[in-house]
Parts: sequence; structure tokens; C-alpha cells
Amino acid sequence: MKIELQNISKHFGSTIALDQISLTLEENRIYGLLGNNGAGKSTLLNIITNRIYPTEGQVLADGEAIFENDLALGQIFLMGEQNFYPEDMRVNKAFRAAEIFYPHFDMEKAMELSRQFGLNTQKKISNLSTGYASIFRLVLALSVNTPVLLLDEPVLGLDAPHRDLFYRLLLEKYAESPCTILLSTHIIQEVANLLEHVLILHNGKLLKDLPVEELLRGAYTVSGPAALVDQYLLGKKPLSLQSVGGLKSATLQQNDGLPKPVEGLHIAPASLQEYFISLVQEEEN
Amino acid sequence: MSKMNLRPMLRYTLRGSLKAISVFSLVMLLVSICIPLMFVLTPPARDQIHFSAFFMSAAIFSLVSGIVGIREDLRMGIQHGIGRRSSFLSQLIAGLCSSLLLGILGQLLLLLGQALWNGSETVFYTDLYQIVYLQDAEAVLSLGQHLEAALCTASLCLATQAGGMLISLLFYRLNKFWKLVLGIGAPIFFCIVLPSLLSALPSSSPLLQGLSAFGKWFGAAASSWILFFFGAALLALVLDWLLCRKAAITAAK
Repeated sequence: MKIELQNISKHFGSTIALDQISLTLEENRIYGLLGNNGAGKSTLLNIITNRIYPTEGQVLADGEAIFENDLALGQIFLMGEQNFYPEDMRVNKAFRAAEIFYPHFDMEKAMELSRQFGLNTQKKISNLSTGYASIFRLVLALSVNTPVLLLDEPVLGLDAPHRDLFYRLLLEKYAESPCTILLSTHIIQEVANLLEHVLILHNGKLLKDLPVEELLRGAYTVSGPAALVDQYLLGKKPLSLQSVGGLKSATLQQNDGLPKPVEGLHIAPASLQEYFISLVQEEEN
Repeated sequence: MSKMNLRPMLRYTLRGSLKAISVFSLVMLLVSICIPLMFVLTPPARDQIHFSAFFMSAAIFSLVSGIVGIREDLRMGIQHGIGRRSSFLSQLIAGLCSSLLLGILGQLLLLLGQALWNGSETVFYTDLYQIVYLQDAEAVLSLGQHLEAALCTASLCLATQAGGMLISLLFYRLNKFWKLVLGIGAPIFFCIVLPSLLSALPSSSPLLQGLSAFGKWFGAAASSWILFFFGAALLALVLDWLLCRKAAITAAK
């Protein structure tokens, strides 16, 4: 299923949360939705799933408007940060409810994943800790088997072993039955290897919409003694600069691959996180 | 219409409604047995008590169902890919089914209560319909009258459920200031301003005469009751939908 956003804007009073966002989520790809706090990531996901309506623009699923379109909405599962389940609902009841709504919901898998994560299915959802509330939602997301999976801060409150388990299970699921996955997260370093395509939002605007490879092509960091770095940067336009004591580090991007090594400086390809930070800094400057 | 996916939402909503009605029925069954029994065992000073508990209890049950059901179902629906229209329609259908079921249940309890207690000298099990429209609390109802009484209960339950939804959606949509205005203003208006206004009016005023005519029409036949409450339900449901269709669906706080 292809999801298309056409000129989406969302205003909350005088605040512009999203400004003329147009993008396409192609079938069976893993996307990363990156942005600072308040960049508009959750708002965008809420608009795709009709939880809120855009002020302008429309969302299409396979060319059809998604507005009050249950058949399209039923193909998209959003694992958000908020709990939409009734106060007194228990985890196992929520699984049973999901069975009613999603014909391909895999109950066996949900129970097995709960066991792997140590999630007590007898517990009320509202009584789960932040970490286990995330686990509950992850288990649901991994078991619903919808063609589009939107994950908003999926590892919120999770410890390192559980985060690792989740990433492994997500990749296994993708390998078994490919689907479109959109991961919205702050923990860029951890998801960088999973992503095929990146969408970067900043202050409600879409800064980048590119495959990871293309995005990072020619992006590199230079670090070393401040004087040497300054000398290296002469005539160049760095995306960002950072100084710690006598050391300096800069992120740059050029069209023709990585530059030649320079004595006394460490030159390495920029990671997605470094690139993201640089881009945001450049935008803010 | 073709883009709706009503079935799963209706299944979920109906399942919840049936569970709630089952619990309510059990409570009402206990009430219908235990309270009259209490009067039989410890007879009151008065000659005979006419006992009727179902009618108002069912109305309050429906009001509460309306208040809690709509927001919960909108959230559950949207979490599972069901839009507002299907969630609302499911609530409407479930509300209609519950109301009719409560109407039938009320008559079954009436028959049971009358079979159990109407031989006793202290308690007479009756129904509001008998008191208001037959003016004979001890009348034996015909099948048609049972049907009419069931429809009276059903129409009242549907109206109170739709009213509950309206209250819930109003508080869902309004900002803090207007919630406060409504929360304080509505009780003041209905409990102080309106009664004072009505008592201050001369009996010849068109408003009082209109109200009096309405009272006469309302009390004349059960069909007036049914028509009035189904009409009120329809009006509330239209307002409910207007409030619901563009509502942002957010998590409970």
C-alpha cells in the first residue's frame, strides 16, 4: 500500500505544527521519521491515521482519500505513545479486541512475544510501567500484520536488552512478511542500520526526504586539533562545528565522495545521527 | 458507505453493551426480589407499597452508558483503523438494541415481580407506565399494553443514552473555559434560574400555557411519551454526530 501526503498543513491556533508537507511512503520499505521535539512527527502520524484532521491537504492510500475510509485505515496500524485503550482493559483482552478488528492478527505470536518480553498479559494496561506499556504496544504492532506499520517512539522507556530484542524482532517480521514501516524516534544511532529511507522534519517543515545512502553520500566528519581543523575548513562550508577544549569537529558534505586523508586529522563518513544534528544546527543558524 | 467497516466495531460495541446489560439485569433481579422481600418481612406503617424500580434505573443506566461509551469507542475504533462514522453508527445501533432490550427486560421483570409479590398485602409490584397512563397501579396489562410499556422504557433509554453522549461529547470538544461555564451554568440555569422564571410568570403567559398544553398532551397517551422521547433522542443524536464528526481523538488523561 502506497501512502501519499499532499500539501499537509496543521495549525493549532497560531502555531503551525506542519507546513505544506508532501511525501510518499512506498510499499515495503523501512522509513525513519526524524526530528527534534516539537518538529511535528506525532502530529504527522496522527494525521495519517485520521486521529486528527489536517488544516489543509489530504492523505491518500493507493490513490484514495483516507478521510473516514475504514478500509484504508484498517491497513495502517499506529503504535503511538498514548494509550487509547479503556482504563480497565487487560492486556489479553486488548489482544482479543485486536483479533476482532484485524483479520490477520496473530494471537499465538502476540502471546509468544509477551512471554519473550516478560509482559504479564493479565495486567491492566493502565497499570503497566512506561517500559511495559511500550512493550504492550510493540507486541500489538508486531502481531497485527497490517501492510503499513507506524511506530512513534517505539522504544520509549525500554531497557537495552528489550530494545535490542525489539529491533531484532522487527527485522525478522520484515524479512518474513515485508510491509511499510515508519519509525519515528529520537534514538537515531540505534535505528540507523534499519532504515532505508529518511524523512527529516524541523519546525513543521520537511527538510529531507531521501534514501539513507543518498542522504549520507559525501557527508563526513573531520576532527582533530582546533588549529588544524580551522585550517582544513578554509574555503569550505561546514554543516556544523563543535569544539571541546583544544579539539574541534566539523561535519561537511561534498558531492564527490570522501576527501583524501589529511595528516593530523581524523576523517570519517558521517553517521546518520551526526548528519541529522548538523542539518538541524545549520537550519537553526 | 462502501468505505465503512462497521462489522468489527459493531461486534465490539454490542459485546460491551450486552455485558453491561447482563450485569444491570442481575442487579435489577436482585433488587426486584430483595427490596419487596424486605417490605414483606418488616411491613411498613402504610397500608401497601407500590414498588417500581426498573424504569428510572434503566434511564440512569442508559445515561451513564452514553457518557462513558462514546469516547471509549471512538478511541478503540481509531486505534484499530475504524473512523468516527463507523464508531458513531455502532454506538447508535448498540444504543437502539440496548434500549429495546431494556424495554423487554423491564416487562419481564414486571411479570416476575407481579407473580412473586402481588399476592402479598404489603407490596404491589408495578410499573411507571401503569401509574401514569392507566392511572391504576394494580391493573393487569394486556400484551399490547406490555408492548406499549416496553416502548416507553426503550424511548426513554434511547433519549437518555443520546443525552449522555451529548454531555460526553460536549465536554470532549469544549475548552477549559467553556467546560467551566457549562459545568456551573447548566445546573444554575436548570435548578435556580428556570424555576424562578417560571414561578414569576403570570399563569396567563404563553410560555406557561404552552407548557401546560404540552403536559396535557404528554400525559394523555403513552404514544405521546414514545414520540417525545424518540424525537428527543433523534435531536440529541444529530447534535452528537455534529460534535463527533470532526473531533480530534486523543487519549484519556
